[in-house]
Amino acid sequence: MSDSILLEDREAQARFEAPHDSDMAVISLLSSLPSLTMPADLVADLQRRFPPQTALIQQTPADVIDISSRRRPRWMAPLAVAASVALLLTLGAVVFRSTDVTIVNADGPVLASGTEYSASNLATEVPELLNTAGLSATSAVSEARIAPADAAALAGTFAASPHSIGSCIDAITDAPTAQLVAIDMATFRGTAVGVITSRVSGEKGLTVSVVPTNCGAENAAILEQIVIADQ
Amino acid sequence: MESDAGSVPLTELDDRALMALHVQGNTDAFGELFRRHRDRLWSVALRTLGDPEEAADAVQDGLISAYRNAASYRGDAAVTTWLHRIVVNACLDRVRRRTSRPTVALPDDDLAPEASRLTVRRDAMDERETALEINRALAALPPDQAAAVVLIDVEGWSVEEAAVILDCPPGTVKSRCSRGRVKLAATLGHLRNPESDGRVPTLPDSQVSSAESLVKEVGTR
Repeated sequence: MSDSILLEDREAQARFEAPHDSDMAVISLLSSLPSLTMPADLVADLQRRFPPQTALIQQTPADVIDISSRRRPRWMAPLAVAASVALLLTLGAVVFRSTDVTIVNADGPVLASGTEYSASNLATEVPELLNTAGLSATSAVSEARIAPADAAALAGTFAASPHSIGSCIDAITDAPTAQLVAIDMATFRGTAVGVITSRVSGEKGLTVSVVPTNCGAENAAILEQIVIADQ
Repeated sequence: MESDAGSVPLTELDDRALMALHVQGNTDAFGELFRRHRDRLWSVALRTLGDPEEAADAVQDGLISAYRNAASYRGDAAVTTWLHRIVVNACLDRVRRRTSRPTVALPDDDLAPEASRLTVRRDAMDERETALEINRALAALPPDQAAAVVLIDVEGWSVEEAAVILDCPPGTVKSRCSRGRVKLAATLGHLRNPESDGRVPTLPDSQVSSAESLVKEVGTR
């Protein structure tokens, strides 16, 4: 190594010990970066490569399917395609379209039951809620019979607007097409969450995903996910 | 979930105990380690490589390697340091294997969602745009400098810990970090001083020569 390079190394090291104002400004910018969450599909894929987490399977009834093996790595899909969510309002139905996910639903799919969900009661509580709400487990276009959550209660959550719902769904789903059956704002292990029930075309069951209330492109965490097989 | 002994939940064991259980054949211990450290490992990989697909592959390579080679963990560093070392190595290996490194923006889906998709307040949008610009600038750094800067300035590792992760002397960590900062200062000058209308603020004379020499070296790397 030449003397000049050594000198520059020493100079750089000295500057690390006594950073200039411009360095301090950069450090300040870097330390303000938000923390990142590993994408849910990468988490699922890696968990599949390790011995599977068995807690979900142990705690849920026999008709609940571990879906981890059916998720495809999301990062393999073109990342730009999900950006094209468009909102159409037709005949009272809210229709989201993107190349990654299609959601069709009747008015009032966002509920606020306040149910205290846990891993062990999701498979029983969700179908019961859907029945109570008049949201058929096999159709996404039934008329809701209970009042949807009011806008004020949804402020600041992913369920506040069609766009933010679409952003959340895009973030957590791997399915090329998924029908949103219902969203229930509730609690899970004592924490406020959204419980998203959806149906993937061609699959004989409902996917129930528990997500944080700030679910979206920057938070694709899935706190719990099960599939409830059709009876 | 409980440890093999059946009395202590895995979630209450420390990392070293989980590693020991994993090596002994416990089928859930590594999953708990993964749960604890996955987000920081992802953050370092994504910000070092600047490409979500590459970062996912590197994290996957690194963690599978760690899973299979856990018996080689000797306990002379913290488990999280060891995991970071393996994942950062996987990142740098991927960079070495490719001829050129993309300096394009990180995809919006991973680090900064398209503003049009979200109803957000202006300040929140500005924060995301700022984060996107910083991530672009990090992605444009030479990978060894990016890794040092990410570990020290973003993730908050000490120089000594970063030296273990990067498998180099502490002095090298410091010089890589300094050079990275100098280049970032030039790239992100307008963020540091929004009033400067995009221009990098003038440095005092006393700082110009050292900054220029550092930038010059950055440019040759």
